[in-house]
Amino acid sequence: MKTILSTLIFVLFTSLNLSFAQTLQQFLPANPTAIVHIKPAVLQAKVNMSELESLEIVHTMMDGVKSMIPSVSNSQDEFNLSALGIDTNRDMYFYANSEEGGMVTALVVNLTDGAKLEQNVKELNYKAKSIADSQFKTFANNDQFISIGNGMAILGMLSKDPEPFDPYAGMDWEVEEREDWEEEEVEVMEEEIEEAVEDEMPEFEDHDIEEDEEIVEVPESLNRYQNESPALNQEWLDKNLMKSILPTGGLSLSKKAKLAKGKGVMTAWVDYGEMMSSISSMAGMDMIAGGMMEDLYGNMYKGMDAYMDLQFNDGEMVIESEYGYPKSLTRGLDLTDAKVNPKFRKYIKGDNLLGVYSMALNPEAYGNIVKETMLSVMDGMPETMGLGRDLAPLLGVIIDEQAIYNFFKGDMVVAFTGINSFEKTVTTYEYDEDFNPIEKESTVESKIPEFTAMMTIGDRTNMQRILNIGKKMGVMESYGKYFQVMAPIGFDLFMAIENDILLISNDAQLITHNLSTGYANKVGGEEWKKIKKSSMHLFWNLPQTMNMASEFGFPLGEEVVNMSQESIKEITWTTPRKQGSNMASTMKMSFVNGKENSLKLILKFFNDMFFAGNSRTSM
Amino acid sequence: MLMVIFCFFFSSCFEITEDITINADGSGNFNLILNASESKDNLANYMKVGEVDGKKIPGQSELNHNLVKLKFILQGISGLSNISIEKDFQNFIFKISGNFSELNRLNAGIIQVAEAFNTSEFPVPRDHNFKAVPGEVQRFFPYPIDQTFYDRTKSSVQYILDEARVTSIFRFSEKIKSFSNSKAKLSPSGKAVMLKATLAEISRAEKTLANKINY
Repeated sequence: MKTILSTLIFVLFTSLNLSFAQTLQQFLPANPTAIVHIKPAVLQAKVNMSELESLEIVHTMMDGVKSMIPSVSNSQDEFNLSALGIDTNRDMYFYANSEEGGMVTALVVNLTDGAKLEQNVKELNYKAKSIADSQFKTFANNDQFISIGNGMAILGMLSKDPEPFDPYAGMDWEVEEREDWEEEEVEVMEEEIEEAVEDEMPEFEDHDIEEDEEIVEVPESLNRYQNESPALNQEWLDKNLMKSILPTGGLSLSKKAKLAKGKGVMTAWVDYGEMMSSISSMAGMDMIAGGMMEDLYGNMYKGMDAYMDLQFNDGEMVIESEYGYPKSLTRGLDLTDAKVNPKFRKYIKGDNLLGVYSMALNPEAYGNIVKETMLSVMDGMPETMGLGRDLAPLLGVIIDEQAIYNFFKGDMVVAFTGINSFEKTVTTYEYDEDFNPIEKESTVESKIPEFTAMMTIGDRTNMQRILNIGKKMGVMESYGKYFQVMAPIGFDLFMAIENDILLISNDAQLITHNLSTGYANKVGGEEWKKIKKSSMHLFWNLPQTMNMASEFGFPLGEEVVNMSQESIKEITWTTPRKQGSNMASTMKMSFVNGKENSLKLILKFFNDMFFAGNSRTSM
Repeated sequence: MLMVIFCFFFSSCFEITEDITINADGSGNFNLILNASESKDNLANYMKVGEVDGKKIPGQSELNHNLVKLKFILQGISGLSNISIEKDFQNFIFKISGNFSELNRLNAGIIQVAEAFNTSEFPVPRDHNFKAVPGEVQRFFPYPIDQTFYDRTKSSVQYILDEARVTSIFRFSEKIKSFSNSKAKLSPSGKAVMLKATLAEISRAEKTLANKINY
C-alpha cells in the first residue's frame, strides 16, 4: 500500500512538473535557432542557496541588478529576483529564433506574483499594448516587450535586420534628354602669355583651429536607416510580437530530445549555421560584398549544431558538449578515427607537467570538411553561378590531396613542462663616492617556459627539404641532426626529425643529446592513457601555471597564487576517439576540495580574491 | 621619443647613462653610455634577421657607419672636442664621450645630431637640454610626455618600459648647494648628484630628468 501511494505521489509530482514545464514549452518555437533550458532545482538539490546568497560577490551582483530597477533601487532590503515576481525555483527557457527579416530572443519564466512584475514593468516606462484574443497582458518599449499571464511571463526582444543602404533614397532624379545635340566649334585664341610674376605670399597668422572649425553635420541621406520607413518597422515588430505570444505546440521532438539529455543546471542547443547567418546579418555583413559574407558564414556552418550541458557537481564543474555535422561533410569518414603516435610519450616530460594538449584527427576526413565547406560556400553564392563543384576537380591538377594526407598524419602534442633556466653574463655599473661608474660583469639567470611540440610526418624527405629551405633563407642554422631557429624570439628554439616525428622544442638538452632516447622521466601512465584514448585532450595544471607566471614577474600577487593553489586542482578537456559525425567532449574544472559544490567553490574563490572573503552573514 | 623607439627592439633591459663633469671654469666632459648587454642575445639575432615586426634593423656595418657620422658631427661643433666612440658589438655597449668648453655647447651637438639622423617629415625641436651659468646648471627635459601612453600600450611594451633605466649624473669640482629634483640623490662627497629612473616612470611623469643644481 505504502509503495503504491509513494508511486502515485511520485507520478503526480512528475506530471505536475511536466505540466508546468509544458506550459512554458507551449510558447517556445518548434525549431529555434538556439534554446537554453535553465533548471534551478538541479542546483538547489546540490547546494544550499542561502550560503551562496550570503557571499559579498553575489550581493554586489544583485545590487547591480537592483540599481537598474526603479521600484526596488531605493529599497534598503536585500534584493533577489523573486522581488520581481519571477519564480526562481522553477525551470526557465531562453531562446533565439530567426524570423524573416530579423531575430526574436526571449526569456520564458514562471511567476510567483504577476502583479509584482506588472508593477515593475510599468515603472520601467513600458507601455501597455492591446492585442486581441491574447491571454497575456503585454507591455512594449520599442523593440522590447514583456507579456504576463497564466502564471508565466515572456520577456522578449525583437531585432529587425537593417534595410540595405540606398544612398539615393529620397532623391528625385530627372535626366533631361537633349534632342538637338550639336557639336560646337571651338575657336582657338592665341594669347600672349605674360611672364608669371611671383606674388607676394600673404602671411597667414596662426590661429586656433577650433575658432574657425565648422561642425560638419552629417546629411540625413548618409544615415544608414534613412530610407527605412517607420511604418514598415512597426509592422514587423507587431507581427513578430504577436507570433511570440501565441502557443506553438512547443519544441519539436528532436529539440526536446536534445535538451532532455542534459543533467546539469543549464542545457543549451544551437543551430550553428542559422545562428552564424543571423549574427552576420545583424552585424551588417549582408552589406559587405553584396551579401557574400552573410552567405559565407551561413554556408560554412550549414548543417552543424552544438549542444552543451553545464553541471556544478561536488568538487568539479563539468561542461559536456557535442558538435554535430552532416556525414556528407566528411564523406562518410570519421574525423575522430585517428591515434596519437605512441612514440610521442618519451618526449613528454613527466615531472612538473604544466599542461599538455594532444590532437589526433583523421586528416582525410578533415580535408573533406574543409573542401565541402568551401564548395558549399561557393555553391551558395549566386556570384559563382553554382560552378563551385564543377571547378573543384580541376584543383586536383595543382593540389595533390593524397600527398598532403601522407605528409601530415593528423596527430600532434604540445607539452609545457616547467621552466628552463639559463645563465648569461651581463655588464652592470656600480658607482663610487663621487658616482663614478665602475663596470662590473655579473651572471644573471634567465627563465623561460619549457615546451616541446611534436607531430608525425609521413614524408621525412620533404620535411627535411622544408628545413633546408629555412636554412637557406637564413631563419635556421643546421647543426647536423637538428636545426636552430634564428628568429629574434628571445630564446633558443630547436627543430629536429627523429624517425617519423618532427620535434620543436626550446629544451636544448633534449634536442642536442637525447633525441633518440627522449626523457628518462616521461609522462605518467594515467595521463598518457587519457592522451592515447582521446581524439583531443587538454590537461592544464592551473595553480602551477600561475606560480610559474608569478616567478616570471607577472603581477599576480602572492595571495592570488596561494588562493589558486589551495582551491583549483586542474582543468581537463577530452574528446574521445571514434565518434562518427558527433564530437562529444567533456571539460572539467576540478577543485582541491572534492566535497563541496563547485559553484560555491568558484564564487568563494572570486569572493576571496575581490572581497577579501567577506560575506554579509556568516556561513 | 628615441628611448621609446629603442624599446621596441629590446625584450630585456637596457640602460642609458649620461655622465657630465663640470670643472670650476665651466668646461667639462661628458659620457653617454648605452648598455644593452642584458638584451645582447636578442639584438644579435635581430641584426642577423635584419627586420622585426616590419621594421628594418641596421646591421653592424650600418651601425658602424652611423657612429662614424655621429663622431664627425660632434667634432664639427665649436666648443666640443676630443670626441671618442667606443663600441662593443659582443655585449652591445656603446660609449660616446668628449670635452666641452661650456655645457651649453652640448645643446648644439644634440640638435645637429638629431637633424642629421632625422628621417621624418617633422622638424627637430630646437629646445635646449642644458643651461649653464656660473654657479648654476639646469638640465631641462623639453619633451612632451603623453601620460596615458603607458596605460594604453601593450603589456610587452610596458614590461620593457618598466625594465629600461636612465641614469643622469652631474659631477662638480665644488660642493653642491642645492638641487631642485627631489628624486635625485647627493653623493657622500657632496659634489655629485645622481638621478635614476625607469622609462615607465618617465612616461608616466612620475620622474623627470629635469634638475636645477646650484653649486
